Amino acid sequence: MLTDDLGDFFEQWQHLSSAILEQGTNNLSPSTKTKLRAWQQHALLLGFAPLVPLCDQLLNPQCNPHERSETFCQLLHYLEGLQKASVSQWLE
Amino acid sequence: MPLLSWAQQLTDDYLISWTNRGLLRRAKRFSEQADTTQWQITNEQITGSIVEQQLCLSQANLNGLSCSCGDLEPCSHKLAFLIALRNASAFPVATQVTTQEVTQEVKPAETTPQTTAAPDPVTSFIINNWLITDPQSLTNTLKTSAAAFSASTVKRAIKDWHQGAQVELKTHTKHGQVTCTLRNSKVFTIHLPAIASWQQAICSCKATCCVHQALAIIGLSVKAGKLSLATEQLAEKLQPNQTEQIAALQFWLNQLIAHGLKNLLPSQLAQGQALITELNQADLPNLAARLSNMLGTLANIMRHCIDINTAHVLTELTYLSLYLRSLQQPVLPQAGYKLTGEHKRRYLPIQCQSLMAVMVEHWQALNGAIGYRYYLYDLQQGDWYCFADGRRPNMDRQWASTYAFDNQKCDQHYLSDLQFKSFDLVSKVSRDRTLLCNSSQLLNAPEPVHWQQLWSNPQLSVNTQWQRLSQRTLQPDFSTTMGTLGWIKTTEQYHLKWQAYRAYGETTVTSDCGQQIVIRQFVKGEVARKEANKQQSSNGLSANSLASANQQQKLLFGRWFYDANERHFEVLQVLTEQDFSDR
Repeated sequence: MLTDDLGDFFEQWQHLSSAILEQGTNNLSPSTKTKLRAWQQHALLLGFAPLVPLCDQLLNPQCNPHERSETFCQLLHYLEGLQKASVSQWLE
Repeated sequence: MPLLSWAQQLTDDYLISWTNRGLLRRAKRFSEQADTTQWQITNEQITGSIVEQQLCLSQANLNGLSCSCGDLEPCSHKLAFLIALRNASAFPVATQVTTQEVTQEVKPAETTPQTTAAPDPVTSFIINNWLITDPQSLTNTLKTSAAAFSASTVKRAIKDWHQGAQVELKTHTKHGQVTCTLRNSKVFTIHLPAIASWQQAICSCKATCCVHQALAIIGLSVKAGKLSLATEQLAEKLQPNQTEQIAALQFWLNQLIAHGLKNLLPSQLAQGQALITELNQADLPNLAARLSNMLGTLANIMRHCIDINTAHVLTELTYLSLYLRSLQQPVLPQAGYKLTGEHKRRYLPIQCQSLMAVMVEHWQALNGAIGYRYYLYDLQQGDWYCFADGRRPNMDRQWASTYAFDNQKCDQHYLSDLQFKSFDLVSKVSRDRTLLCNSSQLLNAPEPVHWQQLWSNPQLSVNTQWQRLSQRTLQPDFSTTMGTLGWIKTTEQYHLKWQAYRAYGETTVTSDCGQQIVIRQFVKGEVARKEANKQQSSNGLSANSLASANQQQKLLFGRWFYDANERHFEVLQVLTEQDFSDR
């Protein structure tokens, strides 16, 4: 199995991404924003530095709505790649 | 290399590639009549006569062969001349060899038994001699005295390779045969002799230094890891209407994500439906299909279907946006057709050995589409293929998958008769490993596979399967339908702590290689479900056949499911020795 930390990290993202898609990147609730900030810290601790600016962009109210949507998609792609790579490593 | 040695290494396959079978047969008859004792063989040239025609070989290539009949094309005299030269070593005493060097070349062949002779690096075919590390080396004259491939030919070959051309090599003792299948399904055969010289390679298109030969060398070099074409990636350009549709889809998707599923409006779904038609019209069927799936899920969410949630949309959204993004790159990361998709499924020729039919799975989609997949296992490679058929919703309502399967034949054998039998097959295969049943031909009579033969197959070990899965999971065109099929061997009398739920039961077992695996088996159909519940209440242990008799070896056939949070094996069929002995 994956390490607990990494497993938690992916599980948190699953909940978080569902909440973001449900609410919309334009209308994130304060609790979702707080969870996203916490998850961003978690990503930094695990060494996934490229995720940090993406989260910042998603949390930035000044950012163009379309850019925010595309940033969310980029996060989805990044996490999909990470999950595939970690599962592949685990299977080996 | 002396001319005689060069002529003697030419094989029938090579000569057929140069001419044709009929001409070769005729030439063989002529060569039998030839009197080679009168021929002049020197290091620089060989002259002789065949059927009253004078022939002269002055270079170690086919362009250096001339005939007095005046035919510019390959004639039967030229062929007969080469065949007679090739056979000259069989009666070397009669052959008048005038130079010491050639005598020395011929002698070892007479004295050394063929069985003990070490492979001659000059006349044995070694593919490494043909491989390149830089495409530019095809255009220079390092490997031949004359000019080789033109720069445009090499460029076209690289483009063909990027567009998904297939290159397969068959190695023989003295030559290699490369089959190039282009994207338009045209097949060309290239003959590579032992001597690595572009000009002596022959293509079935009859042209010298053609694009197919360049493609063969490039393809083989890439496959062998000697050549990387990352810097040679050709920028395939999308049509303006495709770019426009991609931008429209991106805008629609951005709006959906920005407003969220909570605020999803029926008009947005209607816009999405219109986009599907437009994407199909702009030759972007892959995006259209993915959008269609996502819209189906969104419609179910709006109807408050209990089984569908946001996680389903997320998966579909991830892959839709991934393809969308890849199509927006200035240089496409893959061949264009792989990203845009194709309206009609493309099949390429394939030859499979030791296939075993395992089981048929009938499926029914929520939208009413039905069909079956008949899974075939490659006993040597551990790969999976299938025969499949199906109907779209509301199409051909009389069609029933069980009836269609029972009556479907593959080369005069009913599909059901092939179960647990081994056979070799020539067929056509699509990218998702579906074989074309009507184009399939069995190369031998199907033979029953014995239980022990399957049980002792090392490909069935969980570790081997996981290693294969780990490599393939990361490939962009990995199919979760076919790629994740697998086996679990259960050897010990494990006592199950069977957790029974309404729709499925699950348990944890230890595989023969010590892995703890969660196994899940779905109870299919209402009757089966009631039976399972009854069984559970009677013994409190088992929900299905998996747990009912754990006293013998069992082979579980099913599908691996794995992501970051969960891994399990879903059983499709439980096999025992009885299943094999009954057949």
